[in-house]
Amino acid sequence: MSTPPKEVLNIRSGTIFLEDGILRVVVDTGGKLDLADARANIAAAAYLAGSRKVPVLVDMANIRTMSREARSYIGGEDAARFTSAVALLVGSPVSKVVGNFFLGLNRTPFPARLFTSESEAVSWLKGFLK
Amino acid sequence: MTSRPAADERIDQILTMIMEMAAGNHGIRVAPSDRDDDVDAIMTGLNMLCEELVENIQHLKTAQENLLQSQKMAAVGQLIAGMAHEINNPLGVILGFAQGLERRVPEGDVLHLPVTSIVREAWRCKNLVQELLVFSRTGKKTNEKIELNSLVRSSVVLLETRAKLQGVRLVQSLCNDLPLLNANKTQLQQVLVNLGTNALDAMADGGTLTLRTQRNIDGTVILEVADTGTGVPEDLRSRIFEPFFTTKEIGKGTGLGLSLVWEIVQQHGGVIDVESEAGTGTTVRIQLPIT
Repeated sequence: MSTPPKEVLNIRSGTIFLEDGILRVVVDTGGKLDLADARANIAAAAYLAGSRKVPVLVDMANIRTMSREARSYIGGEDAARFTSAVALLVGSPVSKVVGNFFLGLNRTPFPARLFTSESEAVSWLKGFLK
Repeated sequence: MTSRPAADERIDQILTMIMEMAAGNHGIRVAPSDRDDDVDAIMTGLNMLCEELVENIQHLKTAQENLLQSQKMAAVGQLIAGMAHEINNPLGVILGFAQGLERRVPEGDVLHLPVTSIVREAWRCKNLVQELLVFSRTGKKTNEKIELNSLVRSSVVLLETRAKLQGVRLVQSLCNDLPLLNANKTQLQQVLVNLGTNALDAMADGGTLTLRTQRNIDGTVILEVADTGTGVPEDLRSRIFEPFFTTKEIGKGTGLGLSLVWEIVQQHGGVIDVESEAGTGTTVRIQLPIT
């Protein structure tokens, strides 16, 4: 049985919460991520992660676009401070394109993979739980 | 008349974008609909590719400009190194004998003024030759772990007397969590002093000189030296890093200050960028890698 999230943070582009040791980021419908969104996401995620490194599941099935700066920031050093691995959950054709751009053009300092199934993503991330 | 299917309109947009891009217009973007289908995915992908392309073209242009500047500097550096060595030895002889004479000629003697003038001017030449030698030196320097903020603070000490005399306010805006830099301390100090001196030269009637440090999102460190001085006219901006190029009066500048700054930043694997507007001021921005 999964533990219900203790704290859910609402951010401009969606919500962030910690569930069963996995940090979950859900991008809202119509999500257009720019650098300001990315900074807000990372700050909120860092707050929830605290001082440890956690696996992160980003549900970006509803994302519409992500700016170059946002991509670079999300895949950068600030995120690496609290991220042990990232699973990008995609669904729509647009989210697949955005996800592939993220993986193809960013050399993230943590393992990152694209998934179309949430259960597979969670199972992969569990391997990074400490 | 029947209206065209929405997908066709989006494909028209895609084709227009492709044609515009082929013609060199990289600013064009398509507007995906809300359907989130394959056509929207292609449009989103095209927009993102176009963003990448624009960014890469910009990087390429900067790299080409830097390469050109490096080639110029290398050629000038070789010439200067040869000349400076040739001049240095006879200059040492002139200065040595002139100083010997200076000690023997008492004040009030008719030769006192000419001899002291020879010594003073020979020293000026010696200093210039020294600057030329520093400029032309291309060998590896010893790097160490340095804290940029403390280097900025110590440079401010060197600049504040002159700043006070000119009515220039010195502002330090320093980032608290800067990583340590692996750099040559003496050279970076020279960068700060050269840029600070240039800024003060541009603010003869007062103003504000801001030294700022920042941590960049890509992990690099930013050093900014900004003044509210006379600025550099647009037609001269592309030449400011050229050796011996100066806008100062004859005798007031060697035209090597900014060339040296450029050379040092290059040696540290950094990037330098200048924003300036005549009458408003100049900001020199240096991006330095940590390692």
